[in-house]
Amino acid sequence: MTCNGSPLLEASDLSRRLPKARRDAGNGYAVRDVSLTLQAGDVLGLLGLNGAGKSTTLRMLAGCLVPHAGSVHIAGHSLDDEPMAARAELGYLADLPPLYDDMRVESYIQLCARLRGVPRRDVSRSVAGVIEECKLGEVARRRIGKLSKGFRQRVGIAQAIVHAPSVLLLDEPSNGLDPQQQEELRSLIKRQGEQRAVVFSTHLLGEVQACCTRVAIMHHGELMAEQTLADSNRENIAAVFTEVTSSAQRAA
Amino acid sequence: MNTLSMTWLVARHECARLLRSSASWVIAALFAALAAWLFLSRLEHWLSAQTSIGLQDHPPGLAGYLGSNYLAPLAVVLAVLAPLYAMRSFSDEYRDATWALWQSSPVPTTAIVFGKLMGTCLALTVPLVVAVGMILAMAVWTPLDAAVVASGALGLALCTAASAAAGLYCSSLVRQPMLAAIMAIALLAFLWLLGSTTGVAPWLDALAILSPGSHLAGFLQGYPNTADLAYFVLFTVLFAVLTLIRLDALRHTSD
Repeated sequence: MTCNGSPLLEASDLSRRLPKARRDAGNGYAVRDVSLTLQAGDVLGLLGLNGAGKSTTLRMLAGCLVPHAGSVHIAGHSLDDEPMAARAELGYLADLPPLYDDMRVESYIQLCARLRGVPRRDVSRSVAGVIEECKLGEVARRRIGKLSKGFRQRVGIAQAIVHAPSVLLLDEPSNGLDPQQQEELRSLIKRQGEQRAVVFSTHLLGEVQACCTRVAIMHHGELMAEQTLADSNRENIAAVFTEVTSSAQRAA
Repeated sequence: MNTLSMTWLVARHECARLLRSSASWVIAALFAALAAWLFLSRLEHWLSAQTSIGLQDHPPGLAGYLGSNYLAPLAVVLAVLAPLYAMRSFSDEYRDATWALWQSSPVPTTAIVFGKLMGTCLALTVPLVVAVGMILAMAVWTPLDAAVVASGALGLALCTAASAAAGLYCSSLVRQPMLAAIMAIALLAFLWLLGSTTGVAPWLDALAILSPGSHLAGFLQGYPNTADLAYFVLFTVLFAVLTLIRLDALRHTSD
């Protein structure tokens, strides 16, 4: 999974301008000069207010949106020059899980495994593993359209990890989950973080404190602060976040 | 997985998705009812007009007669049907946010486009088989010219695939499936109408070459030629390439 000590995820100076009609707002950028480097075992929380540029950043990292400037390397593969090799190494859950309501959970995860390049002979094993990991056994034969919000989110995560990617990108994965489901999700993210690099966006401080090894604070498309979370400073993140966003708002 | 096996995977997914939809079966059932009514009325006419048909210099056989009088109108119906089958191909993916799955997967865009086109065409074989099957059923009672039937079936399939490609392209443009279908049907209706304007003005006669109808006639009468074959292949490839360009542009423009 690690590629000779080089980072699993390396994003350099990612920028994306706002559409022309909205360019007068703020600094004219949806995302500006964002650089991130993650190794295996890193769990990075992208923290920011609504409209801070978290989802746009994740979409660029996932290859869904082409940046106007900057580059992304996934497990040593450039998203520009080797898009297929790079995408094979990443799992992505968008803010709305990409689910087909008329498919059964197991069939859907099988399809995702094949799309993500899992060899045919390994599909059954991969799907069984991910169904167990995401606790989907009881609904494996159910249609996705009949599932509760919590189970739908778990299926969304299952499709993102079924091919054991090097980099996992999750866009506000706890949206709409109840407290117990949020707790289960945090445990899942922590387990995933032991094997790969994980980036997830959130506006919940508690989530960052619970499962991140690092936090990056975004505001108006810019990375305002980034720091490693240790037990000593884990509780201070709320103060840091408030200070960073307040000073950025004052400066604007 | 190589591009070919990815294309086949996408095609199977698309075909299964269409066959799971009750709307596809309702459309196919309505088409079968229309085809049956048309077939019986044409057959009745064929039987009652034996004397006048026999007086012609080169009287058509049953297969040739049904090609021109039964398959030709069905081709127009299938040109409407194909966009209805293709309308959800991309519109639904945008609307249901499943497009992110394809964009972030290691699947080449060519495999997605040609896979979805192939899957739609596979699902459209249901009405095609119904249409051609009615002619083949006549083989129980009377000898049929197999070459003429095969030529008609090939023409119908090519014309339907071309219409599906136009539907696929329109589906890649908008989020509303019904709007995509209306756009594709309007475009195809315009092209079909170009073929019915001969004799009005010389420049309109020249444009008639763009009409699917003028290229389909030879197939239905049992006289296919490579120019007509090339027209349908190029038509289909053109709209597939336009879809590719549109999907590539989405990565650059969507916010």
